[in-house]
Amino acid sequence: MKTKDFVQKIQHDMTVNPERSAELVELTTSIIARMMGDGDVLAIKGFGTFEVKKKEERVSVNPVTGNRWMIPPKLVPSFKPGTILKEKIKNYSGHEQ
Amino acid sequence: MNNKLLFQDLADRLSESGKLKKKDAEEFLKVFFKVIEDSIFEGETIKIQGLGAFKLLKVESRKSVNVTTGEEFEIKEHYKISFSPDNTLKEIVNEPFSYLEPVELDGSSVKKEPAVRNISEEKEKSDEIIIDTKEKKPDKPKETPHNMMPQNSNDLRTPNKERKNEMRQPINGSPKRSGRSSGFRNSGSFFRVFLVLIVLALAAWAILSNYSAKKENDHKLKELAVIDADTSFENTPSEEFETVIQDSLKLEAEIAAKVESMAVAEKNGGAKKLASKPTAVAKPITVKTQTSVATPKAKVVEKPAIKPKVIIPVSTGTNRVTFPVYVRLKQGEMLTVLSLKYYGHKAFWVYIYAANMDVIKDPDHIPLGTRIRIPKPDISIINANDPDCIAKAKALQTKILSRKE
Repeated sequence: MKTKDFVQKIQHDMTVNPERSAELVELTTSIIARMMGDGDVLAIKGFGTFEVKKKEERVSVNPVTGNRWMIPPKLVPSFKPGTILKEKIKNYSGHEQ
Repeated sequence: MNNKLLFQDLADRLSESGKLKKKDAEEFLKVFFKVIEDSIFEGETIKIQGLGAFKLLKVESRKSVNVTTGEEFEIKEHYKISFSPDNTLKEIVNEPFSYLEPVELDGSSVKKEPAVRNISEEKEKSDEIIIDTKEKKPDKPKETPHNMMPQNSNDLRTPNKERKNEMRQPINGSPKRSGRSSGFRNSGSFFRVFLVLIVLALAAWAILSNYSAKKENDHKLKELAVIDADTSFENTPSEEFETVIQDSLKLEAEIAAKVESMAVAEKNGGAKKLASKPTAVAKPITVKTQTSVATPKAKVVEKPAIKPKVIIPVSTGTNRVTFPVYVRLKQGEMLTVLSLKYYGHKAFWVYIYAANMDVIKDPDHIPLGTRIRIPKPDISIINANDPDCIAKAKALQTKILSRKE
């Protein structure tokens, strides 16, 4: 499912100004991105936590040539499901098709 | 930095920048996360531009052991949520480290590369040697028919010896290593050190025996060694190098033939073999040192070219940037990414485009490394918190895109 379908679904569920859904989705994602870019942790109750994790630098070896590369440290966005969502996933037994 | 923000904060910001009532913003966000949740439970992958993809992954059942009791038990199949961030989000989050790039480690590459190269050179060399022997077979007997038997065999033998010797080294070098490194990755560095030691030992042996052999015998071989050393240090390109090797091999063979014709006794033949062997061993080693000298140099030249990609070190926050900013376009960066980074919203890419009309022909296909000027944003036009500004920028965007078509 792509952003377009996502927006449509939201539009369907919204009671107040559904016509602004697309714009609001974009705004929300950019706000979340900015929050994470500032290194903040965003915890949404009932859904999960968005946070930034630091991956340490490491040495990787090209298996073909054997050359060793130093991979620099980097910051990676990550998402952790919250307790309620985890519980739901635990009780979920596959989608009936 | 490192603040813990909650749903409420997100709603506040949304209502502020979206000019919404707080209640409406909250409602929207509830629906937003609800829809994500619902879709993943429908077994769908949900991709949201600017954020990432959420989906449920199935984890197959597997057996495990209770650590305390030692009892085996089965972990039932279950699901877990996976979130893979969008490229845009990754870029924004990794902004503080974006100037870093993977660096090839010199210490190891010096050891590794020559070994790899040697193999390729080896193949070429051995090919040449085979050709050489073929050429020599018909040639030599005509010149010195009375010496035919011993000389012929020796002529054949020496190149063979050389080949074997040369082959032995690189074989020592790479296939074994790759086999081992796959076996015990941890001992890779030890093994490398070990290899270097072997190479050094071989080199020392070659030089020593060469020296003693020279002392013992003919001055001609001395000359040859001098020629060898000279040529190997002078040349750097591999093509020249090959021809030199070819030449020196021929020279060697000729000199060997002369020595042979002079000395009849078998002792001398043995000594000669000994003498010619070391030179052959010595050669690949000179090749090694040479290539290893050449490669780091090339890298030194490359590195500064890569690093200054980001001309101005840009601080993390969007507020602390001093405009105008100059950026060189990197892999995966688009005007929208820059716009989101510096102006807070991706719709404002049109203004960056407008400021760089002279260097950007097609905003969808900008060549890597293009230097882009990001002008100081005019708050009345470029304000991520003002929906009117975004709407204006979007109108501009459609205009630009329609013009393109």
